[in-house]
Amino acid sequence: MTKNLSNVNQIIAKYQGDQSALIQMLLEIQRENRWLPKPVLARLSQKLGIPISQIYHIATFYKAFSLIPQGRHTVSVCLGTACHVRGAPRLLDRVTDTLKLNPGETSVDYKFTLKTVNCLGCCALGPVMVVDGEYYGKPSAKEIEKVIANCD
Amino acid sequence: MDFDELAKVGSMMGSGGMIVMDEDDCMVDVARYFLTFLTEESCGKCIPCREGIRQMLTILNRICEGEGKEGDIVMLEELSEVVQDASLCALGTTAPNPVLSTIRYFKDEYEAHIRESRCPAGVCKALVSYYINPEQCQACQICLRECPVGAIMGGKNIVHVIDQDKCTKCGTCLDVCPIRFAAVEKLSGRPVPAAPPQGTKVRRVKKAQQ
Amino acid sequence: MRLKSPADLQEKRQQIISLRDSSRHCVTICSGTACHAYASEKTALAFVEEIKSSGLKDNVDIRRTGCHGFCERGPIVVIFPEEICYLGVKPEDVSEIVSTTLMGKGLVDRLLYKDSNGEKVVHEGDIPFYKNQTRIVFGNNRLIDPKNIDDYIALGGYDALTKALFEMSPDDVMEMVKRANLRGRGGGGFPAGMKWETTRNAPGKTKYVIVNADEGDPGAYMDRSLLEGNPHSVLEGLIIGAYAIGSHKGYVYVRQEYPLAIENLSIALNQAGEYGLLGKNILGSRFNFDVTVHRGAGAFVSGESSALMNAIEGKVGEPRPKYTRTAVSGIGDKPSNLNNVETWANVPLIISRGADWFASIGTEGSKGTKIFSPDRWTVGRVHT
Repeated sequence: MTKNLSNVNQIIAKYQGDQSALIQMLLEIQRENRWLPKPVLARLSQKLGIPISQIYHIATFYKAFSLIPQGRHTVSVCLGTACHVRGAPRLLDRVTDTLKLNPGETSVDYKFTLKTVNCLGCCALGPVMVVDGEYYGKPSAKEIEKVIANCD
Repeated sequence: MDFDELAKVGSMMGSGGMIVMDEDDCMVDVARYFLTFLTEESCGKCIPCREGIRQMLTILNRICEGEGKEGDIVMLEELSEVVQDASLCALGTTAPNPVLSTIRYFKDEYEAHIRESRCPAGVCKALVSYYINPEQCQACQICLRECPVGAIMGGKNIVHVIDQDKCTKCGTCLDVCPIRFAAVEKLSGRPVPAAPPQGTKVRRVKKAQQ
Repeated sequence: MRLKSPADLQEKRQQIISLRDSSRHCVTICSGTACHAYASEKTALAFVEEIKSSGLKDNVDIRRTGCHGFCERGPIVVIFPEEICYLGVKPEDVSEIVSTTLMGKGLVDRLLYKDSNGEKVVHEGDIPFYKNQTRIVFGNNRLIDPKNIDDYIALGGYDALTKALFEMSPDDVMEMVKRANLRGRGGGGFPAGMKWETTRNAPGKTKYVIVNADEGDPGAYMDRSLLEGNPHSVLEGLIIGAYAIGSHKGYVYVRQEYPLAIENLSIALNQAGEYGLLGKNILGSRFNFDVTVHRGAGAFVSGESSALMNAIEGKVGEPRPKYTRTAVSGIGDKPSNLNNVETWANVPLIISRGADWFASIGTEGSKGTKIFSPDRWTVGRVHT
C-alpha cells in the first residue's frame, strides 16, 4: 500500500495538482493498480482538496474504474451492434462457459476479469474478443480455450 | 443519402454508422439491443430518460420472452413520445428512435411475437426450438458430439433426438449439421413434433438424393 | 527543427520530397486497429525481414499507414508506384510477394481482389469498394504513416493553415466555412460556421475549441480511423478553427477504448510542436495555440457536448440544461466550440480548395462527403 500511495503522489505531481485532471489521474491509478483502492482515493482527496464523495461519484459513474480488485488478465467481449448481429451473444456464452465467470466478475484467484464493451471500432472482425489488449475476431470455441489457457 | 432525406424516413445521419441486416435478424431484438445499451448508458439525471427507457426495455424483454400482450405496441409509442419530448439531452431524445422505426417498418414482426409467440427471424431464444428432422438425419453423430450440454440422444445408425428440456438453444447443432443432410431445423410459433420412438433407425438417403 | 515561417514550411516540404524517390518500390501495410487485429504488424515485420534478407533494403521502402477502409479484407498491402493491392496478406505470403512482385514484376493472383465475375482487380482504386467513393477526407490515410509528420507535409499538409494565418483574417476563415455550409458530422448536423460564430461573438476573451472523439455509437468507427490514420488533418483543422474563433486552447476528448488513436494523436501533437506548428508563435504568425488530450473513462453519455465539457472539467459527465448553449458557456463557463473529428478534418480542405468547391459536392442541404462505417459496405450477413 505504501507503494500505491507514493505512486499517487507522483501522479498528482505529473498533473501539477490540477483538479480538472482528476479523471486522468484516476485512469492512471486504475491502470497501475487494476482498481482504485480506498486509501489511494483518500490521499487524492486530501491532496487535491476534492471531497471524497465527489471522487466516489466519478469512480462509480465511469465504467473504466473499479472499486474492487480486477484480475491480472482482462477478457472483453464486444457487444456493439455489428458484433451483436454477427453472433456476439453466442461468443459471450462460450467465453462465460470457458472462464466460469459472468460479465463484470473476477475469478477468486484474481487471474481473470470478464467484461463486455460496446464497440471497439473493429466491426469487420466481429464478433470480437480482446484479451489483454490483443484482438481476436470470430474466435472458435477451441481458440477461446487456447487463448485463455495461455494466460499465465 | 443526406441529413434531411434520412430524417424524412425516420432515420438520421448520426455519426455515420451503417449496419446492414437481413431476414435472419429480429427487429424486435434489435430494438431491445439498443434500449439495453441506452439503459446502461443513461446518466440517470432526468426522469424521462432514466425511467422511460427502462420501462420500454421491460416491455421489449417481455415481448422477446413470449410474454407480450395486446397494447404493448401502443404503450411503447406513448412512452417514446414522452422520452423524446422531455429528456435533457440527445441520448434520451433519440433513444426511442430504434423502437419507433422498427414499429413503423416491421410491425408485423412485433405482432408475430405478441399474437403468435413466433419470432420470424428465429432469434429470440424463448420463442425458438431446435428439432432434428428424423427423415433427414443420417446419424453422423457430429451434433451429438458437439452439443455443449449433451442434449442430443442417438447413436450409430440411430436417429438423433434433441432433449428439449436440456437444450440451451445455442444453435451449435444447426451450425455443424452437414449441409447435404440439413437435418436440423429451427422452429418458432409451432410445437416441436413428437420424437420418434427410441432407437429408430435412420432412413438412408442415396448420395444422388442428398 | 522549428519552422518559423511559411517559407520554412515550403523548404521543409521540398527537402522531404527531394529525399524520396517516387519510382522506388514502397510497400505500404495498413496498420489501423482492424488490420492490427488481423496481425498486420507481424506481416510488416515479415516484410522488413524478407526485404533485408533479399538484399533490397536500399531499394524498397516500407510504410505502415492508417486505415484503408476495407477492414473486412485486411491486412491490406499496397505496393507503390504500381498501386498493386493485395488483400488478406499473412506473414507466410510475404516471401512470395517479395520474389514475385518486388523482384520479379509479377503478381500473386491469389491475393488480388476478385469481382463477382471472378475477374481479378490489380489496383486499389479499381476495387468496387473504393471505385464509387469520393474519399476527400479519408483518402490520404493509405498514403501516410500517421506517426510521421513528414508524410503529411509532403502531401501538402499545413498549407491550409499557412493560408489561413497569413492570407486570411479570422473573419475571412469564418465566412469561408459558413459559405461552404459544413454541417457537423457527429450527429447533430448543425452548421459548423454558425456555431463558430456564436462562440467567437460570445462575451469573454478566453475561448476553447474541442474535438469530440468520444465516438460511442455502437458500430461507428469513422473517427477512430481518421484519428489513428491521419491525426494531422484533424489537428490542422482545429488550429484553423481556433484562429477563426479567437481561441488559444484546444482539447481533444478521446475515448480510452481507442489506445492507438491516443498514441498516434499524442505523437502528432509532439511532432507538430517540434516543428512550430503548435504552441507559441505558430510559423511566425504570432498566433499561439496549444492542445491537451483528455481521455474518456467509459461513459457513452459523455460524448454529448455539455457532458463532455463537464468531463474535461474533471467532473461527472452528465449533460447540462440546454437553456445555456455551450458555445456561450462551456468549459469553466467560457465560450467553447465543440465539433466532431470528421468536421474538423474537413476544414483544411475547405480552406485549401475553397467554399465553392466544397459546396459543389453533395446535395442542396448536405454539402461535402460523409464517412460511413462501415464505409465498408456491410457488417452482418447479407444474403445475395
